[in-house]
Amino acid sequence: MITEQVRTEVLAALRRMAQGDFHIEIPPPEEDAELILAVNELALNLRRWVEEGQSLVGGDLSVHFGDGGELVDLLRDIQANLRHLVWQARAAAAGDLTQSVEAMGELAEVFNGMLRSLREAQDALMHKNDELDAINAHLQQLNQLKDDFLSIVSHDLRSPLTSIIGHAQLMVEEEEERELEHQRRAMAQRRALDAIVRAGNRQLDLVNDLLDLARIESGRITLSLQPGRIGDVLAESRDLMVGYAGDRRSEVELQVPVDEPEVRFDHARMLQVVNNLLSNAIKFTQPGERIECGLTWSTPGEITVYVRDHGQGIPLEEQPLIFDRFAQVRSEARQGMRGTGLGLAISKTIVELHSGRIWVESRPGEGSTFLFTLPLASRS
Amino acid sequence: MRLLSWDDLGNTKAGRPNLGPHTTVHFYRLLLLSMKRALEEELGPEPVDRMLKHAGEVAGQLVYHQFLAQARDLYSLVRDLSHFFKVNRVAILRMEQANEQEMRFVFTVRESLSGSRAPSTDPARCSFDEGFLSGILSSFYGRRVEVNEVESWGKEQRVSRYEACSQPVLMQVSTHEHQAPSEVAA
Repeated sequence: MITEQVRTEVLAALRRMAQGDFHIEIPPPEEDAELILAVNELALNLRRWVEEGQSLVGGDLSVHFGDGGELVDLLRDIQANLRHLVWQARAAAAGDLTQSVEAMGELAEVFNGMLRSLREAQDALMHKNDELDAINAHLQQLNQLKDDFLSIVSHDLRSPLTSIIGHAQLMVEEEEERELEHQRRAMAQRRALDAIVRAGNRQLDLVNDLLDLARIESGRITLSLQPGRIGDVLAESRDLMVGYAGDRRSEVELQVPVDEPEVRFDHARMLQVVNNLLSNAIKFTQPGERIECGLTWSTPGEITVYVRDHGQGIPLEEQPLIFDRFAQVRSEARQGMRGTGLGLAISKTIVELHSGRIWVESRPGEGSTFLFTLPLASRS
Repeated sequence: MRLLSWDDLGNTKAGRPNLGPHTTVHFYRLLLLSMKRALEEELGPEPVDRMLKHAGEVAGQLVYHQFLAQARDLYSLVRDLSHFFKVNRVAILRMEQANEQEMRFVFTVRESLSGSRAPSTDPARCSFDEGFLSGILSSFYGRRVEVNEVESWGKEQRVSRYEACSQPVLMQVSTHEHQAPSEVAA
């Protein structure tokens, strides 16, 4: 028999537990304590199982369940199911959508349905990917075709152009080479011709000088004296000497007064004298230096004709000799510019045949002035 | 001793044209338990426990190389093994935890052929199942994986929780490079 007090407390505790209140701990009485202790143990176990279940529901899947019969077995099963779902979800998250959950009723159906939907979406996505891959491959093929076309076209266009341009350039270069060669040949021919002409003229001068000299020495030279202006002879000679000066580019300044008096002279011989003096002045003058030729009549009854250069000048010791036959100035500056050595001797003879005088005024380094006189026509 | 092969099980389609390849769970348990009982009478319970575990390993290796060798990772292995269990009405497998770096796994098997609703007083009741799962995992990882039942519960639907682990080996085969069974005893 249990006491009324124990009976009352046990019934109250059981009713509370039936309502879900497991926080029960009845102080054990002195009598019938075994029943109260059993009720307390039941309440304690129920509290522990609830707490373990709450941990599981709260997401702690590692909770360890103690002994507890079918109720704890049920919690273990739920725990195993939840762990398996987590593992399956991880498999799906890793890309394996082929998993399936068994024996979990509606939960399994929902979970498997979700995986199935994901697989279908994945399949659709892969199908789209395949389509995109196919499109991409087609585009790449088209792009390759375009590249090939451009390559072929550019090659076919460039190759002939390269050939055309190359041959044209070759022809231009050959033509330029021909022109250069032609110019070189022309210049060489011109130089040769110039050399021939110069040599011929020099030979001619020599022959003429020798003939003149022979005539002079034999007394067979005669003058045809006519009145005239010696300035005309100077101008004529200067015009002739322009061609003679050629590339020496010496400027011959004519200094003839407009009112020059007339003199009587043999035109050809006087031209010979002036040519001789002017050509010597050009010959012994550096390019660019000025040459002056003209006349004055400051001395009564005669005019003085002069040809002045600004060249090397003539050494004093040689000046008395330069009108001698075959006399030539020996200075180094005059090397390579030798004439026949007869021009000044012939000029001296011609001037003297005109009753004139010829001389030179020169200082080394300051140039030379050749002068000769002719009597005025009025006096003769 | 000649290695056991799947062909040794015979052609059930030709050999059982009327009855087919299936039998009942009871007959399977009858065969297993009677064999176990006879062996225990001859050899004692401990050697039989080892023998059943060894037999399970041989069966697991055979099943692995016959049906599961294409699994490329643990996910696909569990998927294929679960499918194999379901098709052959063997059990329901739930992988709970897997740590391949530490080679520790926890999984449960319910509705097992050998254990569900059987008397739970026999400590060697799951030896064959332990060996079978060990044979599967050892073949998959190329190293020995021990499987032990750590919990069991339920009366109507008995559930066994297993832990599997592998001790480090000196010459470890690559995790997913599966080897053919080296010693499948006949």
